[in-house]
Amino acid sequence: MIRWILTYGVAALATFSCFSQNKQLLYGLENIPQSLMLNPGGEIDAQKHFGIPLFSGIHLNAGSSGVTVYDIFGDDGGDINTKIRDKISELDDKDFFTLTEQLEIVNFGWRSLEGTYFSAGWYQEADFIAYFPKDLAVLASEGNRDYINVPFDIGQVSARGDATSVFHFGMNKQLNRRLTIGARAKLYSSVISLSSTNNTGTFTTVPSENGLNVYEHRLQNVDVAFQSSGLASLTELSGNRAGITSKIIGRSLFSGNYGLGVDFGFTYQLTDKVRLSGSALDIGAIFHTTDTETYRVRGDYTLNGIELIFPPIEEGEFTLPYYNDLEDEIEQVVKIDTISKSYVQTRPLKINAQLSYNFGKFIGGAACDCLEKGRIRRVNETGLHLFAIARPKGPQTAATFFYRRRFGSNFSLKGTYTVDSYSADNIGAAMAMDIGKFNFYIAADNLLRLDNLAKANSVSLQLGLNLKWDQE
Amino acid sequence: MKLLTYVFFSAIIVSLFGCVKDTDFDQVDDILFTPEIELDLIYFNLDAGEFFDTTTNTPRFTVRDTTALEFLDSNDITGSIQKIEFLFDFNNAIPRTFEVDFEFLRNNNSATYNTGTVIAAGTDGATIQTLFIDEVEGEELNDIERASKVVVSVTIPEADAALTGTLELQSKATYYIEY
Repeated sequence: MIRWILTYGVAALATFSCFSQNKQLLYGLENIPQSLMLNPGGEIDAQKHFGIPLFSGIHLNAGSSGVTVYDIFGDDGGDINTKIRDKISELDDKDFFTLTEQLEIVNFGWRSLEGTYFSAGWYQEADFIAYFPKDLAVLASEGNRDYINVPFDIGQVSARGDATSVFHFGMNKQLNRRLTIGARAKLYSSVISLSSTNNTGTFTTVPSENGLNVYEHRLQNVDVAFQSSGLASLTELSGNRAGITSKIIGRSLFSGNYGLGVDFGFTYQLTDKVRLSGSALDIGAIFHTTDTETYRVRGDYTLNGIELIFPPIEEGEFTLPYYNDLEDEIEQVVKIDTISKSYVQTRPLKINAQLSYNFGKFIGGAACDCLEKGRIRRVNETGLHLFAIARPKGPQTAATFFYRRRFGSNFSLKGTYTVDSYSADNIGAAMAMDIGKFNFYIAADNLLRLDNLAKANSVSLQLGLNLKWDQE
Repeated sequence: MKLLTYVFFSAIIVSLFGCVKDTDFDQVDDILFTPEIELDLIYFNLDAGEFFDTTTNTPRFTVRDTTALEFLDSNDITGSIQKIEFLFDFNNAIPRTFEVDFEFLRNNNSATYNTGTVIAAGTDGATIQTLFIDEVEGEELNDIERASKVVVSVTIPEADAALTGTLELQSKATYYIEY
């Protein structure tokens, strides 16, 4: 199993890889409708748009913060077991593995007579994050023999995975020449949700302090839970592929586990060259009420081995059931509960903020007092984009410096340099163009690793195709 | 402009079909984890009086007890264990030597593996330690892995009502695992 995970899991990272939900490349690109999904208060050029179903927004991303495919499977003559051992030693419990996928099924929008831009649609999202349980990895790979008196932290187990179907409706309104605001309401339908977070507990082997045996194996303050919705009924269909597929498709519409959320955003023109924008996405929660299961293990226990008391028994009589008694004792003290109760899970909140400086010629004509006219387009735009996402072990952040060049109103290129906790050389590029009524965009990260993706921690890919009618 | 577009598209296409090179995924067959796990085993504290039956006023030369060790023949670990090292730490304050036997049995009580040692006699007022280490690997390991319980027999050569002291055992097993 571990070999399977290493081979296929890590190899998958080679294809696409990591700051999973950060879409710094698309943020602020007013000539693609999907930028409203990142900032409902962003500026949008279109009069109306209609995304090509299933092709208007595709986002793929997987990765790890501290290990690349090459680190493990590099054909460098090194011993793979040494490389794995070194990497386990190097990683810590804040390192993580992610897998994110978003697919827009429908996306469309239109501008009302008074200028409000409405947009709506349906997209499907799968998002998985698992932190590296370093102590358990050490225990599994090296055992406890060299770690007497060293606590193994069971609480490092932290993972969350959600497959969600999202229906949304948004409004975008330019209030005045400087300020544009927007909001989007979301109805979530959870297809499947798995999580094990906020766990606690340690396992420690110490030389016996009570003198009973050689060691004491201590489980202390253990409280580990695995929560799921939508999994139990799928497990019952194990082996019935058609049944599982049918159930998942059905849940995309009516899962029984629904949630509500909102996005907010704004764009403010500080001067005719400086623009500030920001957004908060997925402020909401899903209420898991059907097909839920929670496994919870909690308690403290110290194992000393099995004490033999040599009872005076006659030939043929059975001795005491020490082993069964021990198992019963552990089960009594370390309680394992399986419960089916509703629970609420907040969505991973995402925050975007961007400050940009526009310079150079104006798009579509000579210099003017454009601030008085409202939206300003210059050929050059540069700035700083900040991103944060709430994750089980605290927020993850990223900072991006970008430069964007507009070639008329129908074509623009954007280059980004992103720094986060794990990578300081992520160069990305995006292109958005209109050909007739077709609007196409594509963006990719970590271009420096293109020659060998095995050495990349992170590569993401986003692309989409829309029909778009610009304002007259 | 055309050149720029061409360059950009080329970069994107390369990113879509970006290559993974200088890697050898066949190395997965060489992956081997070798944890060494220490676990307590059995322990006891036998009083000298256990070796004399005061109701019949006769010595009880051998005392015996049995415990299941069901994890030994568990499918979860069978085949992964490369070696087991048993450490038995006896502390004897009874002024007698002892023979201790460990007999590993299947569920049907047929023996699969035997081991044992002689424990040095204690002296008046002093505890004598006897360490017994038994390393099991190879064919003997297969025998152990077929067992699900162990019978511990402690035999004293002679005993009387006046005999005092205790015989203590602490033990652990080190499992050398490969998977």
